[in-house]
Amino acid sequence: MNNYGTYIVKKAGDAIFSIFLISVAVFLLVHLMPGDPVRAMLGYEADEAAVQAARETLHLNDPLIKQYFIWAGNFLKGDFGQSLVLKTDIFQTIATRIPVSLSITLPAFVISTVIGIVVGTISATHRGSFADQSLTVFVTAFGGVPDFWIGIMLMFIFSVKLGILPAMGYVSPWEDMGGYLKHAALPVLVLTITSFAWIGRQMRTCMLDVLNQDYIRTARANGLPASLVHYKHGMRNTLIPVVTLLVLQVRSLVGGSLLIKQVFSIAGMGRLIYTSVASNDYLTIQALTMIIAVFVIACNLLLDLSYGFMDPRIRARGKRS
Amino acid sequence: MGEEKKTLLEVKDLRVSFFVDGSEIKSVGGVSYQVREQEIIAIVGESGCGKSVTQMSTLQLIPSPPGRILGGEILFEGKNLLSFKPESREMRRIRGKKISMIFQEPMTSLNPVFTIGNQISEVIRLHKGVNRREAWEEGTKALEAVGIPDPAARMKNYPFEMSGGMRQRVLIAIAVACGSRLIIADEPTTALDVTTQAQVMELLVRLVREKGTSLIVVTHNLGLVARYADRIYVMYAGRVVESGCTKDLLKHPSHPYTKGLLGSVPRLDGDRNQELIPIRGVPPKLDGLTDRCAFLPRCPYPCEACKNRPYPGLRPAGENHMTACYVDIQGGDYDE
Repeated sequence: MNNYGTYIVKKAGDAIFSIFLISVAVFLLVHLMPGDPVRAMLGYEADEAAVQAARETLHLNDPLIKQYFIWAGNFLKGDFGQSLVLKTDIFQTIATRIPVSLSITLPAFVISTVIGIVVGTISATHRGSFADQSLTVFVTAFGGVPDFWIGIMLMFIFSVKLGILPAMGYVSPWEDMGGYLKHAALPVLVLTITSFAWIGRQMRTCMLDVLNQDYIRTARANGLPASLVHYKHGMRNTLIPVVTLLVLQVRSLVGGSLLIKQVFSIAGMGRLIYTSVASNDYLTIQALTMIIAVFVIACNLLLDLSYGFMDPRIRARGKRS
Repeated sequence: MGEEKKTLLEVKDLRVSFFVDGSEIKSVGGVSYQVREQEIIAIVGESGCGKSVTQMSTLQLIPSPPGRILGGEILFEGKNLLSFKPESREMRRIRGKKISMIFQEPMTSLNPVFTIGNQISEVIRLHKGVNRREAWEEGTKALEAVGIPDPAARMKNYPFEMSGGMRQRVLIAIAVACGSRLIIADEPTTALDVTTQAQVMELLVRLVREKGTSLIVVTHNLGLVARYADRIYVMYAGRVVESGCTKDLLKHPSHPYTKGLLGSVPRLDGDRNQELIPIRGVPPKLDGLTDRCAFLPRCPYPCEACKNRPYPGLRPAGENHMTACYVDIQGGDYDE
């Protein structure tokens, strides 16, 4: 097997091992809680017979190892059980929440990435220019302001003063595209504002670092026009650091943003995490933690694999140097 | 060497400064030199004496900010290159096509994520206006010309798959591929193994002689200079302190700094018991230069004029031999 093959197998092994460790920790969550988890979920006034019945369905009377395998097996089948608090199927609940979250976070992620990369690149190639200084001012100004404040201010301007956008609520894009666009505009805008400047800043730093490299000097000395120097020789070498930074942010895609959901009253994943923690709904917390963990680890694995496409040295040797 | 070849490049009173943290670092403080057709000249000096900055200025490759070319003229084929903007079309048509540059660091001077073929044919396509396939073929021939075995296969290699010497050959291939009239090699062999150094230097000199190209070698290696250069410019603290034909200058150094340089180089054919004489002190900081001779604090031959009068400027010290010193260290003062 060549080195890239070994590299892939190693990274996949790491990912599987990480998921296993997390699953053990998440499984033990229920058992580490003080007191009886079933009582905590059902309420302390619950009928003793109901508590015993719940213990049976959750296999809580079985040995710990057996419990783990039953739980993990069910998880692999996509069966997260019934929430004792919400009295609903947990899989169904999450399946309705993820699209809501994604319909807000994904557009924000894409827009802020595109704007961030463009602005960061321009600001690096035109260092000290008006665009560069504007970015710095913007990052400093918005870096210290909490997102809910920006949300409330935008809501105040666009909904209360101008009255052109609804202040809160959510419409699914599959039901009513126009309604969705109206309702999603403000939350997407807030998420974009808070993250594009950060992405732009990172892009600027990476690009400046690359532009100081010797091969950029060679490219310029060979008479290549600035466009080729920056966008071919420069940008290609910023891919790895920038894509890595972007993947660090993917957790927010399915994890949602609690503050935005609270401010704009959108029932996505952020809201679900909040309510299940607040109501001691351990089974839902377990399912959410596992889903987010698997998603993040899968994205990181894809990132590791993509390094091979972005850098021939990793493709050939499994490392950068 | 035929006398009176036409002048190809003439640099007049070039001044370049770097502005860092509010202070001005006078990297190049009024340097003049010329290169004739088919001539090999060497620019010699310690690290930080401004020799690389001078060469980067020719192609306007000084990072700006913080660097700025403050004055002077760089005449090439009758045009003042400094009258062009750094990123102008005119300047880009000079770079890599009329004047090529080879840098010190072969390990990092090629883009790690593109193949050798991609990088060489890109430059050929740009300057010769040929299509992709033709550029690839020309690139392959260029690799062959610099002695890279199996060039067709090597075109598909990435830089990391080659040694430092091979990479420097690739950079030389790119430099000569478009028929430049002048090649500037900035410490081309410093980063290489000693055995590779000689091969690469021989290759470079053979190529420029074959093609009738002029060559500027920037170096601190006097052995290299003695072997290949027609003429030498010695730089110290951003100025040329001595210039002349290689033989004459090495035999009769007229500036105390040049003499010091030669005295600190061990000779294989010399007496083994003969002590090396290092130049005492350290090079001056370039942000606090006065109008006095910058070498004065380290000079073993200080005179009254050196202390009381400004930097002397270049004056004749023999046939085609100039020195910037009040003292005739061969005997007697030049001083009027």
